[in-house]
Amino acid sequence: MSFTFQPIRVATGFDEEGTMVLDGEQRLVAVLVRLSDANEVAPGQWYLEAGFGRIDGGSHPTFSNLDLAQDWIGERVAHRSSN
Amino acid sequence: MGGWLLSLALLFLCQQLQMPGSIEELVLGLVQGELSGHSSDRPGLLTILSHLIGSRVTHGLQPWAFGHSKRCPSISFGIPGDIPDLQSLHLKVLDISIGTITTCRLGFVTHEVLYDLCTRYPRIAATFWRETLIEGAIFREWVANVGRREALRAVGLAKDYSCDLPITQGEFADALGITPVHVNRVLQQMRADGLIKLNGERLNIPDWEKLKQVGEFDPTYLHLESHQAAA
Repeated sequence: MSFTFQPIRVATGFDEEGTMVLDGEQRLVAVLVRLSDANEVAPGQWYLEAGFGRIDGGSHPTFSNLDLAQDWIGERVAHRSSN
Repeated sequence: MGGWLLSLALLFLCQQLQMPGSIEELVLGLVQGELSGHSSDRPGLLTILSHLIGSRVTHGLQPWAFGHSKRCPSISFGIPGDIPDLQSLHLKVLDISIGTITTCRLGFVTHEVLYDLCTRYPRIAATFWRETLIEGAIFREWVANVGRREALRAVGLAKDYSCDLPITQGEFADALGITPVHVNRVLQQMRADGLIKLNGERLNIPDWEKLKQVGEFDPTYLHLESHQAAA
């Protein structure tokens, strides 16, 4: 499944930029935020701020780059679809 | 009576009455890690945590306990003097597990001894009963995501609104049901707002009243007043 990214500012209260993740039908699947370098947990990582539908839930991983984030989201969507 | 006073009084009684499992037989040691148990375990021991028990004084790390259910996130943090599995006294199956997050000095008293104590001394039984009721009240607040900050002061571990806080942000996240990233953001915001100061594992609260207000903290549920004790 292919996804597209669309930059968006997210009001996390910190100096952080984000991106919306849209599926092939232009539906919002997730919002990723690149964590501030001042973040003490995962500085500079991409954080799954919110997931919708099939990737909604308690898991909020961080990724070192957007490709890895896209792979993870793709696997989750495919896995849930096969259930 | 509560906290470490309760623990010390209990151990003193065991010693004075020369009961089985008295203080000479207590397992007092420095422990870190998982202590108990499997959900199918029949509870046979009562654990008492304190850095005040025994002849040796532990330097360095403050003892902290870490209670959590087997398959669920953390449901309580224990501090010196707590009896984290008192609620197991009259239950046949232990439904929690207890571990430590720092080195602890622990004391153990068998249920048999406690049954004997409660039979002989109804006021001790009432005190234990009250402890478990307060524990229930704290748990209700925990469910509502309200912390136990006042409890730190109540047992004298916090002085000048300062205490050791050897809990990682990941452990906080586990206990609060939020992500470590969120915990870090909140802590950073609280530092920026002057609500807390964190220096290593030392927590300082510059403005207690302000923090109480922001956290909507009402200590009523802790039942700290001595006149509320069971008659």
